[in-house]
Amino acid sequence: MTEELEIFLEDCDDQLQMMEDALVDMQSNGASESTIGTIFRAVHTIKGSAGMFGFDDIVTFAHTGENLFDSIRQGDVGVCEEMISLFLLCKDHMEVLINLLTEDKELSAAQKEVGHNLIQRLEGYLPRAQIKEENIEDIPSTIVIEAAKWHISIRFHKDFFTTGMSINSVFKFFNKVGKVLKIQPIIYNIPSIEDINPLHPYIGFEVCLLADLSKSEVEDIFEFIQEDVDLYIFLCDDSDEYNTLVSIRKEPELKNELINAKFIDEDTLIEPELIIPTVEEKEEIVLNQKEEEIVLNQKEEEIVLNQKEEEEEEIVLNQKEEEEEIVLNQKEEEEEIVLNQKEEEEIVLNKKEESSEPKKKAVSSLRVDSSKIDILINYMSEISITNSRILTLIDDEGSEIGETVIHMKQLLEFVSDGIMDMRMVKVGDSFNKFRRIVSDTAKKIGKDVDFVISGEDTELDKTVVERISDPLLHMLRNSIDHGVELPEDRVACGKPAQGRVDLRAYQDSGTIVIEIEDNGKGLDRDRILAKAIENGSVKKNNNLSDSEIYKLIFSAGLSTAETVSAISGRGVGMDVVKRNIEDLRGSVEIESTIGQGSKITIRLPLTLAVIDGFLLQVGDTKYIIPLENIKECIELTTIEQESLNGNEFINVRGEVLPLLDIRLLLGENKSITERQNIVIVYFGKKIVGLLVDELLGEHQTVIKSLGIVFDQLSGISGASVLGSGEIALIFDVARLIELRNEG
Amino acid sequence: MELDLDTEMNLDDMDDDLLVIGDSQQYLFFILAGDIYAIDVNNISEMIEYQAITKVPLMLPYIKGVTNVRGKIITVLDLRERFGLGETKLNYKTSLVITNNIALIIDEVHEVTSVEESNLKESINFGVKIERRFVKNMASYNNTHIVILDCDEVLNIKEISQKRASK
Amino acid sequence: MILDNLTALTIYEVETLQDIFILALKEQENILLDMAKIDKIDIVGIQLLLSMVSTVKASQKTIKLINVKDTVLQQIKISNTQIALGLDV
Repeated sequence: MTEELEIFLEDCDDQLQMMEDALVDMQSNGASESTIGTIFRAVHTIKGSAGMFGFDDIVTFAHTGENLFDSIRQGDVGVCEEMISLFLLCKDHMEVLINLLTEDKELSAAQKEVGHNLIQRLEGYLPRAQIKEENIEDIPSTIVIEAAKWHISIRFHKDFFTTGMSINSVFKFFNKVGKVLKIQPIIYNIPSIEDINPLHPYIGFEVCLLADLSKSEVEDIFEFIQEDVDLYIFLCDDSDEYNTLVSIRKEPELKNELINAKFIDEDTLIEPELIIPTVEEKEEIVLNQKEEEIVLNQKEEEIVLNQKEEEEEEIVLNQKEEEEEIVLNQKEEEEEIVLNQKEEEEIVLNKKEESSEPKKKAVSSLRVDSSKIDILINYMSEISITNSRILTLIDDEGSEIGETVIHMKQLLEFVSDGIMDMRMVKVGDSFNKFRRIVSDTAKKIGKDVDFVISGEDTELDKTVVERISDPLLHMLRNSIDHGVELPEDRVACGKPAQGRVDLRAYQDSGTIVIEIEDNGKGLDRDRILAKAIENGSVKKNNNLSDSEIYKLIFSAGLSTAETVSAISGRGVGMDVVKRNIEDLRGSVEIESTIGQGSKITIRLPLTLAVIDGFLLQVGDTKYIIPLENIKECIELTTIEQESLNGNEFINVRGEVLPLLDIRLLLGENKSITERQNIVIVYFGKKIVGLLVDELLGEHQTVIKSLGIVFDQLSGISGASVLGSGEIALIFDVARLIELRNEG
Repeated sequence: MELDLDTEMNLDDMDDDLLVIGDSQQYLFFILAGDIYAIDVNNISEMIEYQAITKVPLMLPYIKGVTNVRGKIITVLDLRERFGLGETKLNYKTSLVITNNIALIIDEVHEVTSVEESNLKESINFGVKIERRFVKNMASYNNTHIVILDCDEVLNIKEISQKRASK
Repeated sequence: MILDNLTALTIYEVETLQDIFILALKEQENILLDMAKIDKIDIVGIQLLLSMVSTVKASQKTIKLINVKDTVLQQIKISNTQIALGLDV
């Protein structure tokens, strides 16, 4: 790429960003002379420099946009909301055009179609006279070289429906670029009506498309939804590919389905049992073969690494009994291993640097199934455990071996931090997916809502992001449906007609906070109470505080909406929401002021897989408290202990804190230990002192599930294997605090 | 066949020693509170020596806690206590039979052998000390009748996952 | 059974409709689904109908979609689900 071109691309990036910022500003604050000016200039600049390079596609496209904005600037055409969304789409399309330049690729048929459509819509806004005869490029009637029969196998990711994308329009588009010979819906994965989550896709499609397109052109048709679909595309003539398809999909029924729908003869397919891998997890299909190779190589590398570790463990274990000179030899060997490790480390670091370089558009990112990362994390923890066991076997930390092992420990921490980092994703992508459904929902029920997202860059464990998405969507819909009033009602209360819903994310002392706030009518305390009394979850004469009453909306079967609307109000939602969040070791709270709105605050742990914890002992069992929840530890002297006797509160430097005796709570024997300690823990704004026996120090740990037998046990969220092989139980601080407050 | 309890033992290793004849199925015969009981080996993933257990509070008395089997966390259930035959008294013969990620504490492994289908019967003998619901069927074995346990019922998740009634 | 209050069968309605369907499944032996008022459907709605149809069939009952409007039928045909939905075309 020449230097000039690079400058051009960078410039375009800036211009597009400016354009987007101005459009978003326009969306919330209305059009102003300066925003219109900014956009006009941006489009104009791009058009100008693209012309210099002879990028005609960009010029034609930008030209139409420029025309329209010129008319707006002249005051001939007014700006409306649809127009702004249209311009946002245009901006996206320009980005696509420019990205293609970076990759030196041709425009696909699908992209041309998109561009054509956008131009037509732009022209629709132009005053008649403005449309000149410059008939901008026809829909590609690309010369048929050879029509190919493509098999396209489509499955959807969990969020596909909620993104608001339509598969039918893809199918319609198939017929534009070629001829659909067959569409077979794959319906055997759809659960029964009782079990189905109607918002999750279970359906799939097997399509046979006759078109003169290359494989990448077929893939491009899915460009706008590629994030949310799982595709497998191959030439129908290739019967081997059908076998691969059957093995990839891991759907026992698929083979017969393909035969019945006459995609293929029975003979061509070998028994799927023979080729279905035993791995049960759904593996992500990496479209690009190259990528796949990289993933495989990486895996191999990891395996080699593990083996090395294992070897090393053996070596060190043997060392104890062996002669000194052998020890020396092995030491060398060991050092080599450490060196290798270092190199490996560097590679990891280099890779990181590479990928974080901002200006490069073509960042080569890898799509790796998160379960693979989980496996790595598990191995990492085993390695760390083994390493610390070596350290205890050596006894003498000052020896050369000791130092080497300690060095190894540090290196391992780097690696495991690196792996953990791979699991972290920005919440922005997931949040932005809500935009569409929020605006659609609001429109549908006649509400005018300004949906404001902030903190998109906040990072969160991928699993958490995935599992929080449905609950968030539900709560957002609730806010729009029940929270924000109709425009006329708002005006009647003296509020601006447009309501506002905020979705915020930020990090706060080791937890991620997500807030949903609306400026609607707030929760109706009395109605919630009445409803709760009616369904028997609350007694008649109670003196519940406001916040306790608001909490009731998270209990089952409590929907106060008077009519069940299509959007929310089935009363099954909020309890499920709460449970989902608790499953992620998080908590949810609600604040509300009548007439002014409500705020839901969700707190989530940064990551699910690993925690830095503090190890301690209560009775016969070891426990771990996540470090992020600990404020301080206090040793109790005998005197304090006496004054404490039977007291449910403790005075720490003038601050009175509720106290929870863990031994009592867990039914441990009241053994008299020499020392007792208090660990002051907090979650959100709540603070409690935990009375425990012995403090054993910090401990980084991988969280493992205790197993289904312990599902109902509250206050303990999992377990961890210690270096000694012992198991420690992990406290769920949010639940402990709740247990204390419930008495 | 004598089982060597000093080493960990995989059932896969044992298959070689055992002949499967006709309609027969292999069972693990083990001793619990002085009587012999049997479990279908298909339910068993592994047998190991008794090892240290981490107590998990607030559970039913027969849920003894969890133990670490090669990095995996396995729930431990005292089978004697589950059947109301008193708590297991640990000795060097005490073993853990792992089935469905739950380890059952048993007093002693007796043997693994096959039982022909003709030697199985549905009716339950008088004198069986455990609740009938835990009995799948009976097997003739060395001239006596042995209870074959119904693992699904013994490990009924709804029942065993309950919390201990608070005092 | 007439889908009274609904004019569309899309992502916005499926949750409500699921409840209605579950209820109908409990109360009725042979279900006639009158689609006369429905004039919009999307893939989410189609998927729910497919789930309903196969659930009903599995429980030895019958279900039939009647008075399906042309616009709806067209959407159904695009995804070629009309046969699975038992629509005579």
